[in-house]
Amino acid sequence: MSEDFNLPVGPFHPLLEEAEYFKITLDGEKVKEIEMETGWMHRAIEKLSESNTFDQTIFLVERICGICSASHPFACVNALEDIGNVEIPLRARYIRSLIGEMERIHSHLLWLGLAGHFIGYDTLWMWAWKYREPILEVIELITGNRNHYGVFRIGGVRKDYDISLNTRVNEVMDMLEKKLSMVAKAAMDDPVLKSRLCGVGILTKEDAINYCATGPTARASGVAIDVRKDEPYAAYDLLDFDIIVREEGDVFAKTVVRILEMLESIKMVRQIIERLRKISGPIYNDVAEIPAGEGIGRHEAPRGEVFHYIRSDGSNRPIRHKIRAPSYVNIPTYEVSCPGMNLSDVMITLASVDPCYCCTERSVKLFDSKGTEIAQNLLELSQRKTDRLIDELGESELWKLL
Amino acid sequence: MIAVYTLLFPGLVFTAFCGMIAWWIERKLSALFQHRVGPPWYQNFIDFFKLLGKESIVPADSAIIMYSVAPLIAFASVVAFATVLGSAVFLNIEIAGDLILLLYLSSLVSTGIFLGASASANVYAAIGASREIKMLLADELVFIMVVLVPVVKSGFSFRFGAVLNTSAITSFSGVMAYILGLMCIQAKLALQPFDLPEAETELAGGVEIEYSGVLLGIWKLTKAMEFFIYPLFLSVLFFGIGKGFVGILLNVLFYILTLIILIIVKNVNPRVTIDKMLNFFWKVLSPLALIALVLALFGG
Repeated sequence: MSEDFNLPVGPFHPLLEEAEYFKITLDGEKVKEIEMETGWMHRAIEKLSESNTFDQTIFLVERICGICSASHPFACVNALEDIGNVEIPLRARYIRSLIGEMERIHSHLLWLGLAGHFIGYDTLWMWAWKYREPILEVIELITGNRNHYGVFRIGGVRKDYDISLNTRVNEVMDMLEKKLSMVAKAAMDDPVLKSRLCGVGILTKEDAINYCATGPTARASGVAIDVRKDEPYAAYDLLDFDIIVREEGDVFAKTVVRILEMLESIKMVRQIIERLRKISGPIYNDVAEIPAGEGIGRHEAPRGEVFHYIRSDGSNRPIRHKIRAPSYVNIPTYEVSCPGMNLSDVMITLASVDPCYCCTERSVKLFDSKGTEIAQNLLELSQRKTDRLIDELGESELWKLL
Repeated sequence: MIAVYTLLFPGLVFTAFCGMIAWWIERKLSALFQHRVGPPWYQNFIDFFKLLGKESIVPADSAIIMYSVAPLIAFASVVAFATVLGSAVFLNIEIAGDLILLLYLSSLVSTGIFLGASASANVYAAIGASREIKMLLADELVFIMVVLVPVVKSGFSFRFGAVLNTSAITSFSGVMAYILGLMCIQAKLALQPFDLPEAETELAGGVEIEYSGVLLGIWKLTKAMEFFIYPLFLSVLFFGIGKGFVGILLNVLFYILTLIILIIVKNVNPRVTIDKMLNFFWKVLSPLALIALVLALFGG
């Protein structure tokens, strides 16, 4: 097999939870080049947002991603509050951070399980997801939902935290801390696991900076960036926590960063619920209207920095809503971290940035071969294709094909 | 009588039944390892019978004849393996040089898988095929040396009957060869850490990706039968055949022990990469197997 050939990974492949297309050029089992194509999960959220009111927009952006469903509304309310210079009550700030950290724990556990599955370690997969379940249960106790919490609103939060839940939350945190230390020890001592992850998919510090990588991807390459520390929002300036940084830049370092970050998050959740006991007061300030202007909101999502830009003209709808999800900058790092490696190693590298494709894909433009834009409306495009097929084949033939 | 031996006992029907049960044990134990419930005992049977009722789609670009014949080659090899092995173990019937025949048949199964995958005209299957043949090259050498240890112990006899009367596991070289043999079986059954040809999250099923319907059912049946015969081969090779009720009970227990070790190793290891697998077999296991063989020659 000295000839190069292309291995398509995607659009639908067991490695990818969502539709995405990677074209991998192989020489034997060695990867020479990797090309990425996005656009399979496009849902026109930014456009939709422009036709919704500000309150509806928060619920809309919550639907961008099922895993980091607190991150987008978090950044979105930050942006809206930036426009109106809204002050948030202290209690609401703590509750926001609580939800954010809970989400980080369950998102990282989800990734840990998936990473295990991708390297054929199904036991790790099932165990990580088993420990994720109590977290989701606690989130349900706090917000009423396992996912899509719907607690964020301009000026505060919608749902108060009930102090009587402290015992249950503490129980789960204790359990999780114990199990995580066990998993961390098992992962770091296992020679086979180490041989699979160490030195694989290395992203150097220079490349991490060049590609503007964010979140655990950057922190595993020695770039100490974290919005929670760099530009504190919510209650993060009042909490005691560390940024986890590793220098190696390989998949193993990314795993370690995520495991240790979960332990940091557990620490923060404990601090928050302890302080919520003493802080009373309203959970939101009423905001009558958002003035004209523009604002940005940032949030350190489990995968990296989420960035929202909103422009308002003084009406009750955004006239422009720009979203940049962390995977959008993390996915292109494959270009430097993948070539030259074995195919099996590339597969785990593709998963190592914890890519979230439906977060990434905000807009798509279709051009024909002459470079003119065809259509912005995908539904219309699909209807036109169906019409064409009916003309060519006849309706009965088309049904037979389906 | 040969037809009965081949088709009924100890050939096709018996091995298929035991294999499905052995596979179920693997699935059930793995499920318990992973805090899942696992399938009921008849799951593999209904899976297989369901596949028989489905359409077999042959890809237009494939080498059609080889694509259809390859599963049958592998299947026939496994049935022949099961018949020869079972006749020697259960019925005490031997063929001259049956040990060599068994080694040959076991590599023919891998060849069948390789042919079927290469004929599929699919890039995933092509990579799976190349991995399958690389794995065969890696584990075959170790496996032959492992098999030679009981042969040496039984006084240089290539008759299976003579090997079955000696219990090689009682010596140090026997234990060593048995452990090496377990790793070879792990690779031959394509279980983690050596499930490279199938590698679900890399190759989406690899060698079997294009197969469907009856042909896929034959692959599944082949795999189920392998689950029974390879651990059985290893366990009787090293433990011999016991005499009387207690002896047979010990035999069954030793077989189950072999199977359970394979399942435990499967569940506590991630998949290795192909170059690491080749390095491990050629640079680590082959010298060890040679040492075990030399030890056996000197009576260790």
